[in-house]
Amino acid sequence: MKKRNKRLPLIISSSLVALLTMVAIFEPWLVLHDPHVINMAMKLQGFSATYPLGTDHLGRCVLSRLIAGARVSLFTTFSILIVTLIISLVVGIVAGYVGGMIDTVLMRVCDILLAMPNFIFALVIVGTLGGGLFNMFIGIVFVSWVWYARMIRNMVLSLKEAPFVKYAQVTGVSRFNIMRVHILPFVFPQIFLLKLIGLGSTILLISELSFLGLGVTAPLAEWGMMISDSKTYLLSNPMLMFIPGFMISLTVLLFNWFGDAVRDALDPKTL
Amino acid sequence: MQRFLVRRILSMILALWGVSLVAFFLIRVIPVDPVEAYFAINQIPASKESMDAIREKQGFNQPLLSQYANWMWHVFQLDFGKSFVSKLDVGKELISRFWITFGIASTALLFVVILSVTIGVLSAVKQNSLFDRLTRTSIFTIASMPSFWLAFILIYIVALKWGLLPLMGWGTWQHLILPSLTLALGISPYYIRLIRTSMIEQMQQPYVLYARARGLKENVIVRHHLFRGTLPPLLTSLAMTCGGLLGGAVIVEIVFTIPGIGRYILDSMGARDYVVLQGFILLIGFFYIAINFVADIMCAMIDPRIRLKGEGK
Repeated sequence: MKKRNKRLPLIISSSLVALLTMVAIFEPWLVLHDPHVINMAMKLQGFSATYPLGTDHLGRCVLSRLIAGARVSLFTTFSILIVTLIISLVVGIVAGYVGGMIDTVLMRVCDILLAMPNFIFALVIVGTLGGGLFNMFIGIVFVSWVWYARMIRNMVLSLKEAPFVKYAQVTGVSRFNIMRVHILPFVFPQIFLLKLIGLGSTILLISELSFLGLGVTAPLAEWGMMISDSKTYLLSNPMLMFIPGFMISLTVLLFNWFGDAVRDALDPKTL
Repeated sequence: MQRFLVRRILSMILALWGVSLVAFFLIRVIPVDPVEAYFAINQIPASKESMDAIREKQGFNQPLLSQYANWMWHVFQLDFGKSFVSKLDVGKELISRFWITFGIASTALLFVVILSVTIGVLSAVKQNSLFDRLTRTSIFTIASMPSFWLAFILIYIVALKWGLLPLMGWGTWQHLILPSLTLALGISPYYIRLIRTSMIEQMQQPYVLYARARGLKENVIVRHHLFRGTLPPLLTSLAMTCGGLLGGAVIVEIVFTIPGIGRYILDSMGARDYVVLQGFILLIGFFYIAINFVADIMCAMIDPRIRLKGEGK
């Protein structure tokens, strides 16, 4: 009975994540109107049958832009997840397992990168590179791998002393193969889980940078940018600001919940 | 303690040096030529000769390393150069704006401490009560909201609908409330959770049981035994939070149109005023490193296990 209770949040949250991902993937078939087409004759319309969530200051369909925004946000978030995962795994495992000078140098680099607050560092990098989707991606990746690389390195340090690693060393397995076959499978699930829990904050970071005009740029639609566009209409059309923000919060909430649910489901202590 | 201090100071110097490297080289890797940008900003028709003259004057045609040494030499004399756009001294400009941001951030910190200590302690003491469950749900929700959206909602409700506080801008103490409250709301959930968990964990400790056995009043136990134990983890996290506060302040300044460092830095980015950016990276890096340093020292003073780590083996 208890076990079923534990699975329930995981099932619900993962199906909602899947649903959202589906919406992002099938965006071109789901949008009611072209999210980028400007139609000044239809600007700032209220809710209606043709425009379920109204139109923005350039007459673009809000619902379609929300769906298009889901695609941009999720696509960027997942790419960031994959790239930071790879970088932090490589750096962390090499630093931890090979050790010596390489470890010292890599960890000092991490120290330096951690000497700046995350958001400000990302902001400065994206700002100097000149904004845009790709530069935002670089900026966020640049600040996100460091902390995880450190975690992995510390995990590897204790794994290094494990009997099965010692055995592999004695039997002459190459360094690369030990890292690949014996270390990676142990480290990966834990780091993947940590990254999963951190997905929500990546989504927030993307929307914040886009809100500042440094991330996703027009004509692409993004939730943070939609809020930024709507700020002049706060008094006359507050919905333009409420709806995209609600979507961001809901998505972040969903991913946070999903991360927690996965962690709880995997954690033997709470069984 | 001495060895701990020496080690900590050495690593601080290393971090500061690293920040200076980042500040210097980040600007050099951008695809835009700063001299061309300079001409574009000031709307001077760029000729080959005039651009070369500026390059000569600013030292851009020297090798990178000597440029770096030269720049560091000026930085040590607290000369951060002059802005490309306003021609004013970057150090002074940054510091004057930094105080505004600092004001918002520290008021927010005050709000964070008040909110999270009261709510955190209450929900730990009344564990699993309705209040506790409501808090848990609402902090989970608030933590998912982007700060700029929260800011707009506060503006909409408090300033537009109720007309209680000024909408935007800067000047009086009323202008300080909404921005710092926005910042605080974003950060408090983390602390409420931290305080609650830490206090609940300690309720199982023998010294709390002993205090109960001695017949101490419940609120004496809460204040003297439970709350004091949450201080060390709280201190370390607060230092980390200062970074988040500064970052959050940048966004909040944009929403509330406050002329702080965030506004300044975004404008400078738009104008490719790289001298300002360099100064900004140095200033924030220095501030953040210094705060972490102080927090570490304070923790080491409270907790002997930290300062003795690695010693006496």
